[in-house]
Amino acid sequence: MEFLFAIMIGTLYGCSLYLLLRRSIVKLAIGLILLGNGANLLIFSAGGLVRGRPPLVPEDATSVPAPYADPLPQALILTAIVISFGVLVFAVALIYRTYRALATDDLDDLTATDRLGEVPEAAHQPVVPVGVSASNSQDGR
Amino acid sequence: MTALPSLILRTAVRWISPLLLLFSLFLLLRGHYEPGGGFSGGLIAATGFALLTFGYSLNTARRLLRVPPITLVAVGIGLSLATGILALITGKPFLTGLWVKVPLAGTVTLELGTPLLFDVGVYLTVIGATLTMLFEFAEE
Amino acid sequence: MGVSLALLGLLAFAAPWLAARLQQRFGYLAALVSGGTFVWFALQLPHVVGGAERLEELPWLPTLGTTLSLRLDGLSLTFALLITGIGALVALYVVGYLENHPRLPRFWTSLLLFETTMLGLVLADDIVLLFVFWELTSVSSFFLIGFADERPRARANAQQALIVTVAGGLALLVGLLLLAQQQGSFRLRELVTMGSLQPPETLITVAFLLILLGAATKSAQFPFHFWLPNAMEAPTPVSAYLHSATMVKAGIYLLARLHPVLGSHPWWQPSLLTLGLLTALTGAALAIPQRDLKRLLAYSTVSALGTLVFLLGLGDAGVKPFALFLIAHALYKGGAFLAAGAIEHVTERRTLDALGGLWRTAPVLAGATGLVVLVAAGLPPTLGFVSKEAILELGVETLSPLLLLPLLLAFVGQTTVAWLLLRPLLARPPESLHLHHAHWFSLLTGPMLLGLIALGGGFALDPLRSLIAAVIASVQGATPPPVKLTLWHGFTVALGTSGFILLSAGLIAAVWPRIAPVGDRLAITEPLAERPRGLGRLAPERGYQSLMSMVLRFADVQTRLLQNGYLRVYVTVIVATAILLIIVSVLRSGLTIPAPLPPLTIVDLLDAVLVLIIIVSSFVTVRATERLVAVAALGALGFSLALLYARYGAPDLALTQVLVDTLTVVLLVFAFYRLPRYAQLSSTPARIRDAVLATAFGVVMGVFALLVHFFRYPERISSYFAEQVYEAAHGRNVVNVILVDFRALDTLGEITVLGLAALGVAALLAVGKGARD
Repeated sequence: MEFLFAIMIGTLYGCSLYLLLRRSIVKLAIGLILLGNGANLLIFSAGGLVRGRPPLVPEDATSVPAPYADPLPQALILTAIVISFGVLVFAVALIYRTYRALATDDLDDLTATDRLGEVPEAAHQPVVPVGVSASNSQDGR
Repeated sequence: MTALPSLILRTAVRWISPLLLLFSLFLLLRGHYEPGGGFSGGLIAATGFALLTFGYSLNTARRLLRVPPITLVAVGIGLSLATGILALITGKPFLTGLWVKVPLAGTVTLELGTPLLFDVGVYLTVIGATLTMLFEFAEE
Repeated sequence: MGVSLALLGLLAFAAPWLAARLQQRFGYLAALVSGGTFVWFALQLPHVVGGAERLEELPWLPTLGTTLSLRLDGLSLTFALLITGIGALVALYVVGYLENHPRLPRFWTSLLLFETTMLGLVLADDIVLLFVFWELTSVSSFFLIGFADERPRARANAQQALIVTVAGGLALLVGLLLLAQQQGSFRLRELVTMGSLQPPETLITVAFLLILLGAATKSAQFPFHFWLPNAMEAPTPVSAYLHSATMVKAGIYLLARLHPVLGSHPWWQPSLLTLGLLTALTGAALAIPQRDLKRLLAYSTVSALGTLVFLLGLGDAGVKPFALFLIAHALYKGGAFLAAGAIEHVTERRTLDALGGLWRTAPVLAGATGLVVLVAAGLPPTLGFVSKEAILELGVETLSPLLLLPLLLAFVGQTTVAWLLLRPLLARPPESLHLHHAHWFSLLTGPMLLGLIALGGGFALDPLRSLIAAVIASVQGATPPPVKLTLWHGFTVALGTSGFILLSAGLIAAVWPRIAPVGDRLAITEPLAERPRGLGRLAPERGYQSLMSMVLRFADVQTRLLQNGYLRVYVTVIVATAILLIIVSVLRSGLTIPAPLPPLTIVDLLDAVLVLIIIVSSFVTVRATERLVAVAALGALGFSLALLYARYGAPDLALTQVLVDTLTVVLLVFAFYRLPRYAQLSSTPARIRDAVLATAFGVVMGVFALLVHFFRYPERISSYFAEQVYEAAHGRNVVNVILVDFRALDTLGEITVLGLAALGVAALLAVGKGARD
């Protein structure tokens, strides 16, 4: 099983890197998800593979009877899963905003931070500088 | 996103969402002994509200939640922090678990500890954060 | 002492709130607190003179042997009196000078923070503590110079002062640590009683040079003097307080403090004498042609600071004149700045040729200014006279002409500056000079009182004598013989020299209108231009300028190189580094694969299928041309992963993974309606190149995953958790107990991150909503 896990981890890392290197901004988000899963699996398999023995103390005992799956990587991964979710949503929000403001999904068009005025306006909405729109947001509700 | 006017979905959501919320509390409370806890409990509760958003509308979900979700985040983190400070006040290192035994009927005692409170903080934060993100996207 | 520090510090931090409440009245409060501290220190005078030092200690970093220890001896008492006394007068002055200024609370915070830290600096007995206060004074000086932050020059000059003094501060830190290491103590009082090594070690020499560098930058010694005239961008009370009376003397304080340790070093005398004389001469020469009142005073301060370093370089004989001149200079230069500021405040002019006739139009102001001039010029019977006589007496009797002549020239320069201060009073009044309303009490109490003290000091020689004796005791590290101090020495050579200086300075001041244009032509009367001309081309400040532009050019080049805006370049660099680090650390770890491989887990058919699904779905996400296909593949991947977790003893993970996966898919479906198409943008060669890199990365990570399994260490924290989970933490689910109890601090951090991510999302999307409505 260890070899299969290793192949799986390698695949996840490789695919995620390939997606992260794409110019399409949406593929970036997918790549992030794969990367998170790959890292979680790497930590998980580093703790050793123990099938069907969760680290729980049985009713009649005061400690976990060996062998048991390593709880420490599990604790690490559990929070990592939730945090990767948060980071992913943040990334998607950022991508969405970028797309709305700059009307491009090509990362090669995003090489400067101050080109807001140079890019042709988005077809479906006028480009609004961030500072101006932030002040309007209260009356927007 | 406007809700899809599906009667089946609505009916299902009406029953499933409260059950999910109940289940999330169950997961939260048993977390110290069995699989579960604040993270998974919070995610289940958030899923319940997500279903409400689909089946009914964003406004219904917001109304049923009563407080803005970001408030839950603040309360959650604050609660977790407070349990740590409680330990500091009693002269122990930050976030040390404190336990009290509450005697119930006969020989049965109930053990209550700050780790549970801490987990409640996690639970609230996870619900709050997930719903903040979800609602904002649903509003777009 | 600790209490006075705490009180001032507290006032500094309460200032934003209190000053907004009390408005102008806060100045009186600050003056009162500062004055009260002054009185307390003054009451300590008899004890300190009697040889009893005050010590206060609080453990701070006990493991490093650092303590919050404060000590009061003659030298620190003198400085403390100057800091708190002038501090009180300056606080009073600010009331009138910055009347109704909108950012007054901020000013008070910086000013009081400075007073606190400066007081801490001279009281600190621990050298780490001393260094911390040293740097904090630089920081508050930065805020005060840049107070008028709408002016680019104020910002640039604040930065310049900060960079010069903090760079010196770093040298000082290394020097102090070296010294402490060599002598084996971090306590100043222990260092001082130890004396120096004979012959000195090389490291002590290095330490001495570094400390000297720190002191020279802080006390504006040549060639670092340029920051001080530029610091005149600060409001005038700041110039009076920080940049003439106290902060710039920190370097001199440190040299005096370390005199018992380093004074016998063979390099001490030559380096201090040279540095002092160069600075004194440069300052004096550059001062005379200045037109701007404050720059004039600043250069003369530079000259005085050089004189003080020179006196320290003379060794034990120089200590008495040093102490006298230190006190006299703080009094008259502080007073002169305050008077100049008052003139500026009433007339709204600061250049010498645009002022005149104040003798008639503003007699009280003119009186205060005149009083200060008497002291600054060193006329009898003021303290200025006493201190100058002491220096000249020493000089005429003991110095070789090579040292005496430059010293006399420096004095001529400084005295000329004093005479020049009379021009605004006596010169013919220029046309259209209007006087504006002013808060006279606040503006004139300072210069008046400082002038009167300096005047009275010449008569009240008894308390002065004991204070000077205490200073000498601290600087020499031994009890001195009784100090001889008289106002009138009779007709001596020194008196004659003094008269000569007064006369020649008066002559120079009289022909000043002819000298100033020469200064203009040499381009030394204005702040250094970007393209300097005349003597400006030789200014040491050019070195600073070219250093800064080099830094900027370097930043430009490396930003273009490393931050080129292409995400894939960043990712490639990060991944390549990661691969390299992994390979290197595996090779260097010295671990070998155990001969019989550790037992492997038997392959299970269902698990193998799950792994296969995950592998296939990852490829599908890569190859997909439709967004929805990619999302569906991600869903399949996530659920298979959850099942794998469940089968390998991680029910908590399985649960969380399923839920997160559901929410992710929901969210992506939501979001992807709005996101651009799933486009293929890269060219085929680029895709092949990336595929090769990705494959390499995948192979390395796969091999790494396998190796990690083989190299597993036998002892694990987890067994401790598994044993203690019920006994110590009253739980049965180890994973949950780790999260909420054993490692709760990590979890606290993680939920905070989650909350921040949610806030970030809300902020990002809120921006969009405003744009559409």
